[in-house]
Amino acid sequence: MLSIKNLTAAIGDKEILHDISLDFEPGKTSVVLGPNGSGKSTLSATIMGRPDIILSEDSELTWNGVDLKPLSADKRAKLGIFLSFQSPLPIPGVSVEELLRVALDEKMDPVALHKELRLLAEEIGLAEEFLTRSIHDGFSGGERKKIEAIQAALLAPSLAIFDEIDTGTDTDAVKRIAEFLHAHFPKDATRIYITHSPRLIELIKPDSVIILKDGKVVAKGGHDLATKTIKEGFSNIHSQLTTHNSQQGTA
Amino acid sequence: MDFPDSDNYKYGFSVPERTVKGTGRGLSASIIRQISEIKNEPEWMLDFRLKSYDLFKTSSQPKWGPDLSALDYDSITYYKKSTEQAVKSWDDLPPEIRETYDRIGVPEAERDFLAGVSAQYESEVVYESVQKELTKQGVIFCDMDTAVKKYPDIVREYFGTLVPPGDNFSSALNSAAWSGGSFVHIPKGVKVTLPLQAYFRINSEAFGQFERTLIIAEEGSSVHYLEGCTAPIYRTDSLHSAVVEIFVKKGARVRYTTVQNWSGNIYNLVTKRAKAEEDAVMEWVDCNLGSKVTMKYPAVILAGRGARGEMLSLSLAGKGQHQDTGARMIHLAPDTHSRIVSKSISKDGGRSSFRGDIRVAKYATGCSSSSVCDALILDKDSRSDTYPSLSSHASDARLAHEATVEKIGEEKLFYLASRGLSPQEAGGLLVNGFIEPVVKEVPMEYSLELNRLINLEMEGSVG
Repeated sequence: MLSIKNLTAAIGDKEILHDISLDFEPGKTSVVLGPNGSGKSTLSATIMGRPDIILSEDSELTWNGVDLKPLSADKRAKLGIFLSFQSPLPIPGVSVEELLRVALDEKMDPVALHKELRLLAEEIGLAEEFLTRSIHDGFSGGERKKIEAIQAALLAPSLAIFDEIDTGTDTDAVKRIAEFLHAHFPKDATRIYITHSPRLIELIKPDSVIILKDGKVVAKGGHDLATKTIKEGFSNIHSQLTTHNSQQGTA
Repeated sequence: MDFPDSDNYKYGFSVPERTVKGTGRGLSASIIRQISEIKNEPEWMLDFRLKSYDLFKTSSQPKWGPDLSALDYDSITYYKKSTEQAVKSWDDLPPEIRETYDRIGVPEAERDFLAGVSAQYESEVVYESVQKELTKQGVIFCDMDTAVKKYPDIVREYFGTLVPPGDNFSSALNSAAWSGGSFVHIPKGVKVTLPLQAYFRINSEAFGQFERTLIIAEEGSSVHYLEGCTAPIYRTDSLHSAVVEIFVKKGARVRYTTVQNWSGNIYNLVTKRAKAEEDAVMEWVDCNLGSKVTMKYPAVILAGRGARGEMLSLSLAGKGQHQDTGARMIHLAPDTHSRIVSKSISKDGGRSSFRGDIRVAKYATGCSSSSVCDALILDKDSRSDTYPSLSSHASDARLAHEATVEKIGEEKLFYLASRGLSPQEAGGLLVNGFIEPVVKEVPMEYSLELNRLINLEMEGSVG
C-alpha cells in the first residue's frame, strides 16, 4: 500500500503540492484528474523520487511500511515502483533493449529478453526497429507510450504510475495500450493513471478517482466522479474536503 | 631476461645487438650518427636525419594549444634498449596502471609485455601464419627500420614527402630521431581482409616513442591498420612524437584506427597525414584516452576527383589531461567529400579541444564537408572548446558544422533511475550511448575493452 500523509512538495522555492493525504490500496486502480498545472505530474515524480523535489518535514510517504523519503529513485524502483513518463526525453545511442538488459540484469538473460521484447512489440503494435533505435529519439507520441508500456510489462512493478499514457496517441493506440497492460501487467499490482481521457478511464475501469486542483486534493470518488468532472469541467469543483478529517466525496 | 635472437630476423624485424647501450640523454648530431650506426642504416637516411635535426634546432613550439613548457628535450633518451623503456619489474609500475590492468582483466603474459617488463609477446605462431597469408598476396608488412634497408627504393620515393621534416617542430624531431613504426605496402587490387595490427609485430620496439609509419595502398587496394592499446602504456620518458604518412591511390581504401592510452606523464605529439587520389577513401578512427597532453590533427588531402575523407574521433580528458585534437580536410579536387564526427568527454577538470580545418580550393567544385562535434562536460571544473575553421574558394561548396555541448541530463538520469539503474549504471549507459557513433566503427576486440575502460573512468564521476 502506498500511503501519503500531509505531503507538501516544492521545486526550487515554489510550493507545488499542499498537504496531500492519499492512500492507494494494494491491487487497486486509481485515476488522478486535474486541470493543467494542478500538480499531477509533480505528484507522480514525487512518488518516484525525482531529486529536485523537496518535501516538507512532516510529509509522510511510505510504501508497504517502508519510508520512501530517504530513498533515491533507483532504490524505489528496486522496491517495485515504476513511473511511465509523460514526455520521455530521447537518449541517443541507447535502445530500449540495452536499457532493459541493464535493468533486468539479474532477472532475465539477454536472449530471453530479446525474444520477449519482440513478442510484446508485436502484440502492442510496434515495429521491431523501435526496439533497437535510440529510445524515444524521433518517436511519435504513440510510439513513446508503447515503449513505456512494454517496459512496464517487463519490469513487472508492484506499483505503477502512468503519467498521461494516452496523451499524443490516437484512440486505437489508447485501446491497444490499455488492453496490453490489462494482459501483461501483474494482476495484484497497484496502478495509478494520470489522465484526461474519458476513453482511457472507460477502458481501465478505476476503483477510485481523485481530483487534484492547485496542488490540493479537492475530491475523491468512484468512476462516476470522473464522468461528471470530465463532462462539467474542473471549475465547478471546489474543495469538498475542508479538513484533515475529510468526508468522502459524493459519488 | 632474454633478447630476441637473430632467428627472429626471418619475421623481418630489426634486432638490437646484445652489446648495444642506449645513447644516453639528449640529442645531438653525434647521437644521431650513433643511432643510425646502431641501426646500420644507408647513408641517405643518415643524411635525412641530420638535415631534420638542423631544422629542429631552429624550430619552435607552437604558441597556440596546450602548455608544452615542461617538456625538456635534453632530458629525454632518444634511443635505448627496450628493457629500459619502461620499468624493470611489475612492482615498479605506477599503482594506478597496475590497478587498471587488473580491473580491465589484462592476462598476465600480456601485462608484462605492455609494461615493458618483457621484450616479447609470445604470439609467434599467430604472427607467422599472418605473415604467410600476407606474403601470398604480395603484401609487405614489416617495421620501418627493416623497410629502410630491405625496400630502399620504395621507401625513398615516399618517406618524408607528405610530412616533410620542416612541417612542424614535432615532425622535425621525429625525422631526426625516429625509430620503429610500421611499413605497409599493398599491391594493386589486393584487398587485405585481416586488419593489420601494429601489436602483432613481436618487436621490442612496440609502442616506441618516436615511431614512423608509412602506408602505401596501390590502386584499387584496401587495408585496415590498427595501432595502440586500450590498456594504459607507461613510459619513463615523457615524449611520444610520431609521424604517419599514408598514400591512398586511385580507388583504394585505407582505414587507420588508433586507440591511445599513454600514461598521464606523457606528451603525445603526432603528425598524421594522408593523401587520397581519385575515388580513394581514407578513414581515420582515433580514440584518445590517455597522455598528459595530446596534440594530433589527422589530415586528409583530397587530391583526386571523387576522393573521400572521414575522421571519427573520441577523446576522454580526465584529471590533469588536455586532449587537443582535430581534423584537417583539404579539398583540392572536384567532387570530393569529407566528414568529421568528434565526441569528447571532459571530467575532473580535464580539458578537451577540437580544431577543425576545412579548406576547399577554387577549382574544387561540387564538394561537401560536414562536421559534428559533440562535447560532454561532466562537472564544472572541466572544459571543452571547439575551434572550427572553414574556408572555401569554390562558390558551390556545401560546408556544414554543428557543435553541441551538454552535461549528463538530470532528467535522463531520473528516467534511468526509475527503471532501477544505479547512478553509475545510468551514467555508464548514457556515456556509452554518447560515444556509440565512434565506438561502433572500432573492431570488436577493442570496442569491448574500450567500453569497459571508459566505464571504469566514469566511476565516481556520476552520482
